[in-house]
Amino acid sequence: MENQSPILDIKNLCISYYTRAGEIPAVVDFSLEVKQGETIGIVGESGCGKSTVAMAIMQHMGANGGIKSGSIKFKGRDMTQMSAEELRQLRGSEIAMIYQEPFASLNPSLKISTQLMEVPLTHESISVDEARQRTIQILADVKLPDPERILNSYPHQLSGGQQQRVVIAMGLLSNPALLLLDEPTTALDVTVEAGIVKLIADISKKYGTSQIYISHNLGLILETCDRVFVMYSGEVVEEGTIDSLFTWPRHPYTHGLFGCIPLPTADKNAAPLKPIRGQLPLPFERPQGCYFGPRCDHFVQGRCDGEHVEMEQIKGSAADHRARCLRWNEIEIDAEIPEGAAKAAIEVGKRVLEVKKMKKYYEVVNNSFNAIISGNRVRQVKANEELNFIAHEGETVAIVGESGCGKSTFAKVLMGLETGTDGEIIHKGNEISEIPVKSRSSGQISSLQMVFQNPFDTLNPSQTIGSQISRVIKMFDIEKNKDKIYEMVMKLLDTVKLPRDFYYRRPRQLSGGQKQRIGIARAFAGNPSMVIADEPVSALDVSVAAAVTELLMEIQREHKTTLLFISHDLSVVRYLSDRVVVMYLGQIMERGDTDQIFSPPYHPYTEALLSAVPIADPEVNKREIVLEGNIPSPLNPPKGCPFSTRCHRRIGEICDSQPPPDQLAAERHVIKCHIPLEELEKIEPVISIPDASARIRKPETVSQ
Amino acid sequence: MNAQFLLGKIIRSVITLWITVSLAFVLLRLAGDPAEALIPPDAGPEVVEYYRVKWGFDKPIHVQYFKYFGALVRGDFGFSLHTGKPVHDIVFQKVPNTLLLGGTAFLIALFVGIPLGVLAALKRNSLIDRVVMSFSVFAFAMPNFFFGLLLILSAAMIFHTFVGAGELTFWSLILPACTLGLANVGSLARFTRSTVLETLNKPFMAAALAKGVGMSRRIVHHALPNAAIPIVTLLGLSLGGLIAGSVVTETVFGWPGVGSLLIRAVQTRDLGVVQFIVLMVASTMTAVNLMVDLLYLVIDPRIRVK
Ligand SMILES: Nc1ncnc2c1ncn2[C@@H]1O[C@H](COP(=O)(O)OP(=O)(O)OP(=O)(O)O)[C@@H](O)[C@H]1O
Ligand code: SF4
Ligand code: SF4
Ligand SMILES: [Mg+2]
Repeated sequence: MENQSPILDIKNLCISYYTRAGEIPAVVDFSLEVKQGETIGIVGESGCGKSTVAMAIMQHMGANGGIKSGSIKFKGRDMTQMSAEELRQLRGSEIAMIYQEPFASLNPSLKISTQLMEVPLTHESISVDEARQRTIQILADVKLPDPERILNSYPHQLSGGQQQRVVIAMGLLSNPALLLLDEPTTALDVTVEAGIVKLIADISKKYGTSQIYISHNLGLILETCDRVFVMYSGEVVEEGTIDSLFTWPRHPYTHGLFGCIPLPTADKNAAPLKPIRGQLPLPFERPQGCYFGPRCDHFVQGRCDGEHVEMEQIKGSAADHRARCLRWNEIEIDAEIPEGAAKAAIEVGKRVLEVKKMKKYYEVVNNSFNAIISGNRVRQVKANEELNFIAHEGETVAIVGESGCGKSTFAKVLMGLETGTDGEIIHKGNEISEIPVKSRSSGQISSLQMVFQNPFDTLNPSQTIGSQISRVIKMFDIEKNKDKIYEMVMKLLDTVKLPRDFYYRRPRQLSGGQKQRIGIARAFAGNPSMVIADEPVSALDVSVAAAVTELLMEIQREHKTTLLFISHDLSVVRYLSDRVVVMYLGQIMERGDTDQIFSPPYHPYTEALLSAVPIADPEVNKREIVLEGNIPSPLNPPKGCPFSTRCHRRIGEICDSQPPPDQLAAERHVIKCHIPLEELEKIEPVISIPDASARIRKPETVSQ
Repeated sequence: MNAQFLLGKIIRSVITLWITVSLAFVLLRLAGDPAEALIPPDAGPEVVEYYRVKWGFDKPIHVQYFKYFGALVRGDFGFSLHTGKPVHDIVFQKVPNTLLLGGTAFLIALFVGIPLGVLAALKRNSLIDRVVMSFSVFAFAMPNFFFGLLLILSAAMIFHTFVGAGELTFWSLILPACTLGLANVGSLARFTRSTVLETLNKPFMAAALAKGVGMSRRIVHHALPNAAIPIVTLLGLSLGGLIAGSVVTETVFGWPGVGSLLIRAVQTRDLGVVQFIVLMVASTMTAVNLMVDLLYLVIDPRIRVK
């Protein structure tokens, strides 16, 4: 391995975009080497330049991008000097790329067969039949059942997971030496993601493909890569082997990232998340000296804001561990507690919400010729089937599940945006499941508020922040006096930790995290007894997400609000919730206290979900469970247990034909499964954590 | 696509048709007494009265209306007040000429507009792009008749021939066809350019490039089928413009088509003829719209396969 010349060698690459506002130096002085069979991870927050690097390697920068300086050598030849035809021959045959959005990278007007077969047909002189054989072979390799049917389909006829497999197959068809993957699983559900990640790893091992794996998810990088590059504002701030970098991060930014993600050892009271303050500077507002300076706790005036900081070898670590920090040697990152300061747990009070046998069915009218002829036009989607649970004052109840499981439908019924089909929802003593929001009193509305996933959609772009919050206060009849309303808005801005002069700003002048804070301020304006947060941080970057999560927890703690936290991310859920409801295809598969959910007995789906979530901690051991197949369509759910088509513990015919019973594992811990409790109790824990104190340590074996 | 959708479309088309024809009927009758306009002024009032009764203009308008529709349903489109011949005979005689003119104009729009648009998109921000775009703005903004007159004058000056005498020669066809096609070339080129540009910026185009697919195949096989969907819509809409434009153009060039006939019939208040042309044009338009919808089935797999 040592003397082997690298497949890809990037040296001092600078890439700029040229816009009307001027030049945007998106990537500065980027160097990277990829050896045969190696998987390199590039991790960093949105806008740090990850995709730009990938596009530069493909030599396709779009209309306004360009490489300013530096070289990209592929197998010894500089790609920046190649002709268009030479590049065309490389692309798709030697270097393949898998893009961020699988659906978008498939052409909607062409059959899958055309799109796949075109790869070998362009690069090799083979017949159409041979090309077809090859494609069928590769589709089997990416574990797509029934390749013939897939080949004859158009992209929109496939599910997200299938599309992503097709895209991967497309990348692998010509057996490239280098595969670039730009967030290949971001758009997928976690259990599907886990399957794809394993697939990519298996296949590249089989063919010896080198990979560059781009992701914002440290956990995913840990699971897939050999070496990792951490990017910040257009440059690499730290690089090293997975082992050295994850166990002994030296750059304050890398270290800060670990403090932002809820590892299984984090706990919202004892060891809360520690967000990095501030936000990523835009390429043209980078500070003098260290780009991370304004956000760094170890910033020293006169040193860190002087000359631009160079990459430096980390002595005492693995040979290729480097960081871009002047003070890596002096600062005692290890000595401080990585997480924020401990806080007292809140007491759980009286019952605020009770959901009894709540059902929500949607009717879908099918107008195809077939349906009209067969008279089968109206079908039911059982978005929620017999939901039961209770939430108390000050409690955080998480609803977890993947796409289509009915989380958001439930939130809509709670909010009165839809009415329930059957059953009851009792909020503060009133039955509300059948009262649409229009007929709810302003008191009822203000006491049940929501924070939405996408802060961008919910703010009116033409009004100032202040007037939008004031309007909410007026609408809820909380206050009529103008001056008092102004006072209240100011207080709310304080609460969500935004400067008071944001009153006069408009939404477009705000970053994503700031908009989400406004969303929280609006939700809390009427002092609600319950707030529903539907994936409130999943659109945000890790460092911003941590800050918003902490803020939400803090306000909740202060106001003793009941928080209904809807998420697909079990690590966040484990971190902040008291109770967890696990949903699959409209049904609750398991519910219980957080501790009960995260330790055996598990429902098989919970178990798989736990295993699917990547954890950015090399010392945590995880049992691997990879589910086959995709989540079934809610239009056509399995007859018996909804999970039966994918369950790894399926016990037989009974799972397919009979709905499983609710088994009481402990008080308020219910598991819906045919497997007897005694059996479930014998299951090993999915995640095992060695010793919490040994989480970040210096590697014992020092090689230099 | 499904049956209900299609049925809805058809019903809507029929209603549109009915409203157009009724509106034309009422408006034509409100605009004054046709008998007075048709009969020479020196004829006595009894003559006018005689014809008024004969043509039924003495009856209340709703009676006339029901009578007209009753006849329509039976396939009787009425007679020309002028010549007494069945209107469909008169009009259908002129239809081939108009089709010839409209068809040529449409082909010109198609084969000039679309390639120009694609070219401009591919050579974005280049000189070619700017020339094409300026031309299309010019073509779009120029009134039909004005451009027609310009053409006639230039032809007269250059070739020393005068078109517009009503005879059917190559030149007498090509000039009005260009005039008529030009406005559509402009809008079509501009629209094609923007759709193609939009398609070229789609991620699947970058993906095709990453596969090493060559430039020409990327454009012809990957980009154009996707860009075609909105372009077909515009083509359907521009057929309407073509018909409207043909009225003016035919008159300017003296082209013996339905447009000229319509103008003449309006001038002489030959109600039956006007009415029939309105009916025919409206039917063509709705049929074209329906066809565009059906064409989607062919080119957009997302609608086709469900
Ligand atoms: N076509 C463009 N024109 C101008 N600026 C651009 C363009 N594309 C990207 N940028 C800027 O370049 C920087 C790097 O962008 P890039 O897309 O590489 O980030 P990224 O790390 O891939 O982010 P994400 O995680 O959101 O995909 C950003 O500041 C971005 O705003
Ligand atoms: S150089 Fe200074 S500001 Fe930058 S990361 Fe190191 S200590 Fe922080
Ligand atoms: S009932 Fe059967 S299929 Fe469903 S989770 Fe239990 S074992 Fe799996
Ligand atoms: Mg990106």
